[in-house]
Amino acid sequence: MTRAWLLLALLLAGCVATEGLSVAEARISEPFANSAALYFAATNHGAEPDRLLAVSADAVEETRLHEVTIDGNGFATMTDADEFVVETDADLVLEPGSRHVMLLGMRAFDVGDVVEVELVWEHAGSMIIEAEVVPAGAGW
Amino acid sequence: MPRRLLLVIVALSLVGGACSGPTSGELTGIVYDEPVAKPSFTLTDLDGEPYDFVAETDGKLTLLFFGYTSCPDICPVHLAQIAEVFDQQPRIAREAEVVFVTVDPERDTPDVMRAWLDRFDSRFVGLTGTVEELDAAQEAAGLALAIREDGGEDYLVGHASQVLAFAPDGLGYSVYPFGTLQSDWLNDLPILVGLTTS
Repeated sequence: MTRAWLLLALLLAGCVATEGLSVAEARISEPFANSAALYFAATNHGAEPDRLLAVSADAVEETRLHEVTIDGNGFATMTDADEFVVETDADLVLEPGSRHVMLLGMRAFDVGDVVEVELVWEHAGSMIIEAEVVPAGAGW
Repeated sequence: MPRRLLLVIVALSLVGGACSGPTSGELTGIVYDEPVAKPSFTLTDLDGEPYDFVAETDGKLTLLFFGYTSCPDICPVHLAQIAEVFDQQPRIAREAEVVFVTVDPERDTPDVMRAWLDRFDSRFVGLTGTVEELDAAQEAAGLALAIREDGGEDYLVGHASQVLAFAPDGLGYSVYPFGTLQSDWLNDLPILVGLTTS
């Protein structure tokens, strides 16, 4: 019974967890020209670092992991990453200006729609999260 | 006295008694040591007409930003924040010009830019030009030139991520880097819109 309540609480909080790893605050910026950015925050409670290796969704043709760096002059550069690492007892935060999952070839969605996304981690394995579509630039 | 406040006071004193309107308060953006002149350039607006930046924005609070519509991350945040201020403070919206200059003219056709800007505010002005013209405009604005990264069809573009702000008196007092908060915009735009030469 306690477990059922815990599960319910996690679902209500928009948080998905597998052994050692939890993901919350999943959201997708409103798609434009069939592309959008996925953001979330992952927390690793496991005994070893984990790596985000792949992301997929029925609504999306292709995904890319992007890292954003901004130098001292304000020049922003985005680069492709092979993986995102989340250290033990640490957070991996995907947010504007740091990192995101780029969703390409995405079906049209309206703000408020919820999209199922699969995250594949090296240790935690496959995880299905639900990401709400939010207005572009929202939540900063 | 905090250095930033001192800079603002120095900046405001430079325009001296010529100022009118609400000029009190501390700017939260990155404040120049001395106010800077508006960059001079002419590009093409989304109707295909020439747009002389200095002439078209004369007497207006002007926010200048270089970016591209396929930018998933930084560009939408700036524009959404400014649009939110416009919604909350119609007077500022009436007296301001937001100028978005593409650094990706190949993909950012006028139709694409208009559709993208309309998601934020249909009053936002979009400008384009040849690569050479766009480079010259970035140089005039004192920004590092945008660079196209590799990546095939869905290539990325590195670009300056700050918004340049110019008061109605034609001078730039402050810059807004990525990470500027909504509350910063709400604080600064009313101050800047009061810096006039009348």
